[in-house]
Amino acid sequence: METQETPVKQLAFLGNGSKLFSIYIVNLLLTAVTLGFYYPWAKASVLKYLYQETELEGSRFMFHGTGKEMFKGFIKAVAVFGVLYGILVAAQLSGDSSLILAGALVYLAGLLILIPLAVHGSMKYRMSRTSWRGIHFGYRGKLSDLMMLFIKGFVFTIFTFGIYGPWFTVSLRKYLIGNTRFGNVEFEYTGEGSDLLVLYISGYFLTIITLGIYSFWFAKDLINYFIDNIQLKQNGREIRLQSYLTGGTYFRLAIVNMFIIIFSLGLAAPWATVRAMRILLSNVFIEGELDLNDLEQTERPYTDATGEDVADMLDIGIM
Amino acid sequence: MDRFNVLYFDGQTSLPKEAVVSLELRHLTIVYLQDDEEKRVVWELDQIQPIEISGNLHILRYGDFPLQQIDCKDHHFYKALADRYPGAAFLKISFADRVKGWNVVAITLGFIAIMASVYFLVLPPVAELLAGQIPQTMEVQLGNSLYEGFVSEYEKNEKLTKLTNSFSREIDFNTSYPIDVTVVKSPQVNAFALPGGKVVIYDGLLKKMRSAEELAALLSHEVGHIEHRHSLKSISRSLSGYIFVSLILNDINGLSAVLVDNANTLNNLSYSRSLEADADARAVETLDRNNLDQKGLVGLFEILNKEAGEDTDYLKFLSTHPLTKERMQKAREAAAKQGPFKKNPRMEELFREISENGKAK
Repeated sequence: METQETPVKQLAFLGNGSKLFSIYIVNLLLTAVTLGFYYPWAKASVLKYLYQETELEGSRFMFHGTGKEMFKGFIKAVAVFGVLYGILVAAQLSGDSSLILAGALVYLAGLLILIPLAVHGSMKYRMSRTSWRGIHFGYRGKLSDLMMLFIKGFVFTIFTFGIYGPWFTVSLRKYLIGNTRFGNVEFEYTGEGSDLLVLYISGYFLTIITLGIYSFWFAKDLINYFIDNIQLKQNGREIRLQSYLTGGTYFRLAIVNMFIIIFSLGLAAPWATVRAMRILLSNVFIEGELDLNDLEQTERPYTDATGEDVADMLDIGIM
Repeated sequence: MDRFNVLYFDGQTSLPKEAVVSLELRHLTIVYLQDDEEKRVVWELDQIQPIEISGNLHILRYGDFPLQQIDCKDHHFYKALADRYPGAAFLKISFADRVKGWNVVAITLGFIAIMASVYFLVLPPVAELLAGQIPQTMEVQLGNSLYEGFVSEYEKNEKLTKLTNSFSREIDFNTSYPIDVTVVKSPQVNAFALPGGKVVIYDGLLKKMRSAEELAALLSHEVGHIEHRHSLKSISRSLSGYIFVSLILNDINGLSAVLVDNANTLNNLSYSRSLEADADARAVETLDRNNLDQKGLVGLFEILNKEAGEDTDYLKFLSTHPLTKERMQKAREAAAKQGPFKKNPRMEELFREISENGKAK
């Protein structure tokens, strides 16, 4: 039997801090001057830059979302949150304790429904606006499925005092990643709740024992666990992602970035972002027979950016 | 005619095709070989998406979904396009992409200047204006709840509280607030006012008082704070400053928000000096209206000054009642200019009782 080397491919981040800074400062200025309404355009310009500077086999990724598309979503998101906060505040001001409780419950229930709605909308929009060599990504999950998964997971997590948490996380990843397409390449998440639970518990105790120092290694483990369990499938061939990020590397990344940000009062954040992108991506390897010349367009056009903005307001980072 | 080597993607597969693009008069023509056969694609100018540029790399996309794409790595490409198709929509570069070099520095400085002027010039008066809009009943309510929280940590001196309240009723403060004094047991030499009319005096300060006018000066000073809504304004200012700082910086990160918040506190400290001056001015007015000797305020400052010399807690003290030479100077000047004044026999009697009661402890 002949031994065959597994072919390996890599993502590279080519961006630089000063270019990102010029984007960022214009964004800050225009967002301030427009009292926040520029936000969707600001976000689009940053995403565009970060995608465009990410290279795979000599070709760049592209983000095609526009401020205009996201602005519509932004307005809807502002309206939805306005109503929810309004209910909460009105109930609080009424002074009636049963009304306060009812208001809080409505608010919580609203959030519980909004989170999966936001994740779904955001995944669909973000994936549809991402392409490489003209081939678009796509998300084919169903909102009703995700909603059920989310509510069930949330309730289970509450009733098991958090123990179900890792299974909840993994089930969401399985659903979201499993429904993602890159042309005719399919994705799958192969992690297990029990593995993640072990990771959480050992990470938690080691962090306490080492007075926090282990937290960097813990974070590294979580990143690697996320990436290593992503699997690609192309025409029946299995391709794995592997992250070789080490605790030492992550430690240096986090500490230096922290200093960059604190001592510049945040103004140098773009340089920190660029460092993080470069270091994290340089440690990810695509291992397997991925034929990047043989991707086929499979997605349909899609337009709706509401989820993207709701997700932002809830501070949910997606991918 | 201009020709450039490009990679062409047809929108159906990811297979890159080496192609040559020619800049024709009204369209682009892309020519490539497929299975030894020459293929030719025409792009109409008005259906080309806005150009994307990263370093030497130029990316153009065309048509409806799925879009075709060409990547060109020739750094003359943009200039050739601009020369050939002046004013074409797809060649427009957004404002943000045009910002380079010194413009970035200028915008950064501009941004910092705008934020600083909002923070230092616009925010404080707006915050004070808002504090001024709060109805008095709400202010009294707020003051009462702050008072409950404070007093529960101290022991109230009932007798002195009663006497000092009788004393304060002798003074015409010219205020619509219900003034209510509480004396608490504590060796600290301090006093303060809460929004809505509550005044708290530590009996440590009361024991040091040498004349009725000094006590009258102290009460008038604290009522000055109440009448000017100083604590509400301070709260409103520091809260708005905090919210502003976190709005801008939270997006970036929490830690630097904390750093700037400390600077915010320092900024408020200098503000509190100007509040003291306002309250002093009002105390002078009140003493004048009641025909009381304004040297009472000078005497009060002497007590505080002496205390500041001995007190190791001076820093803490400084933060609530910054005592400066200017305050003392102003009080002296005011007293020197004062017309005739007289002793109020009822106040003298009450003050004697207060003094005796204080010493008995």
